[in-house]
Amino acid sequence: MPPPLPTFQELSDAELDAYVLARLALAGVDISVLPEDDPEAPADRRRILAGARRFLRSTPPAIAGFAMDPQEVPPAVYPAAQVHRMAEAAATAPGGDG
Amino acid sequence: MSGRSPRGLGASTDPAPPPFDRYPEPPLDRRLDRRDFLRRLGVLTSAASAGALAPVWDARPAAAAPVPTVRIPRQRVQETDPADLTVLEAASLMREGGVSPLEIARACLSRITAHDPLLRAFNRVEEEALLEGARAATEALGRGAQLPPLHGIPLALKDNFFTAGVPTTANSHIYRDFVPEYDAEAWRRLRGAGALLVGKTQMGPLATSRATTPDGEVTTRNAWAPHDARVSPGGSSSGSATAVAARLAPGATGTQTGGSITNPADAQGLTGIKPTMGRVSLRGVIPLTYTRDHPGPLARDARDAALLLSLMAGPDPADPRTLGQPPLPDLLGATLPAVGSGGSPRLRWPTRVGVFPDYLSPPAGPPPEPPGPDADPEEQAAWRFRTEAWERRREAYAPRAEFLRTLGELGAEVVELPYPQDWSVLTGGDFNNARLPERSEPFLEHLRRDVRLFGVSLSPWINGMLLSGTEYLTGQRARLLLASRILDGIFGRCDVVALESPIPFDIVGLPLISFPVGMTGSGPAARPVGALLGGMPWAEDRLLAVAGAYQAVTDWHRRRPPDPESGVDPVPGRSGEAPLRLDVLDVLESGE
Repeated sequence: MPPPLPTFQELSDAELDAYVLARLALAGVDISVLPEDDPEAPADRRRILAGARRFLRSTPPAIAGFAMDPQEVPPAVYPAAQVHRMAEAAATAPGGDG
Repeated sequence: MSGRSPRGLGASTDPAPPPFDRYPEPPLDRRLDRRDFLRRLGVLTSAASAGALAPVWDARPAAAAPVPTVRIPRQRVQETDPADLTVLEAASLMREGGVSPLEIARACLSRITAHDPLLRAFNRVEEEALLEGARAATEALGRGAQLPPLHGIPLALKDNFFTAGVPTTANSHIYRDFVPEYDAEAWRRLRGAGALLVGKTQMGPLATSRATTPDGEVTTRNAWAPHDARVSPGGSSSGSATAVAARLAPGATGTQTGGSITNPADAQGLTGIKPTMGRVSLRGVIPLTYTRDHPGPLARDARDAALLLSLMAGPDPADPRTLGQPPLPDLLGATLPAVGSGGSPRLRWPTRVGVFPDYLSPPAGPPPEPPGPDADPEEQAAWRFRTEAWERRREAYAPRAEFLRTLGELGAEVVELPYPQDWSVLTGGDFNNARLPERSEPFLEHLRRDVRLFGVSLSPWINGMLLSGTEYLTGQRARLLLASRILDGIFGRCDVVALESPIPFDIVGLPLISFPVGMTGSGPAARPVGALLGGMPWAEDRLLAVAGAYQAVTDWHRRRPPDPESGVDPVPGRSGEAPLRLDVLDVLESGE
């Protein structure tokens, strides 16, 4: 039986760094061209990986943990237009109040 | 300025203001009905996906409104530097013969020469082209021809707007040598309305932070604090704001994805409007986030903001986001207040202003504790960001009570709102981060080529590649949930809402306006403080009406920063002063 998977809080820095580098490699992005640790450089691997770990420990768990009814909330890349259009349609639909 | 004979410029005179609440046409936000919105949401979604909903709006462009005549006291005309005129004042004076395009262009260039080495509002100044255009505009004015509304008005453009034949860099190594072959649609419209290009303005690299070089050296200063580079000019449209505030140009364009128009307006005493998503075409604007980028104007008052936005806006066949929208209402007319029974200005339309329970409260608790000396860089960056936000909140809350009292005198009803359900989650940093894959995708080619091209901005582009498709989709669904809760929970109770942060309305694409409502500090430490209001979809007319009425009875928008004192502060980089730098993690925290 495989060991239980760690929770995201239990993932070590090294494990997250490995995930980041593997994910970037899958897309063909290489951060090894950055200096390892150079505070004078605009970006270095140490700070980029630190920012990535902070992001991974917060954002994916927060978003993945938010539940919505798929019948009620479809994806909307332009929600201002969509809510306006839907409200307009609600007011003019047969049986509407509007 | 010399007195000249009046000349035609397609002008009209402002109509007499109507009695309060007697306008025949309601604001655009009252031409829809929100009742049953949530109950019908699921049903309508199904109908829409089945193709049952026909387009409900007219895609025809609004007719360009004529420029009204603005009455300017003779003494002010004689005493005012032409660079201090608003766009409407300049346009009005031109047609009366009080000033020429060439005089205005020379006045702006003179101030740029004197002050921009320190302020660094501009990436590039188009001096020769501006003077050439201004001469031609002055000659055309002399011929008495019927001329467009911005005839001979110089404008500054954020350096992410394409300008044909003029380099467009977005302050990034990626676009270091980029010279567009065509104009951004918004600039094409402004140029077609007679505007002249002063230059391209400094910005946060790729529109991410306050303006810096691609590698993070701070460039642009706040016009109200020219001798302290630490005072933020607001980002990322920093140079546009500094140019307008410091009277280097009468108006400018900006773009907003996370506060990048309204924050600089707030920081520099300007009126900035971020319209509803789709009001202004994004064709020819270097993308930051497809679904959240909004072009808009930075101006000295609501009337200029209305004029510039009305000329930038409209359907563009090349940008599907702009199609199928309601016709643009008369935004400039919306800024004119009505007149109450005693002759005093009143809000143009009856308006309920919503405020959340803590709007008038100081920031909760003491300032954030600094991290220890051994703290990680990301902890230090997060602390710097939290501290700046805490300080800004401390400065901003004090004028708010007076602001609301003034709105009440103008006829507004102030109503307290509960925060919508899950507000802090849906508008917080994690759901705000759901935008990041939209940064990475259009720049993948450059990420593959060399990540060093991103300079100090790299982190959010890397993080955008780490979010799964599943989480991206959840983020997009959460945006509709947030929009529906805003529409029902907020705009079911009020017409405009006073906001602490632009992020919630940036996430869902709703319009925002920022305008000055007070000052904090005194003497050299005096800084403007702005109010941020949000509206329903396409409610730019409502927001401009509130700002216009407020500015009819206050003078915060007429305050100008004093000129920098010569010799007090060294020009950066010329006398050994250590340049201020942003760290790559500062950019990550900025959320823009």
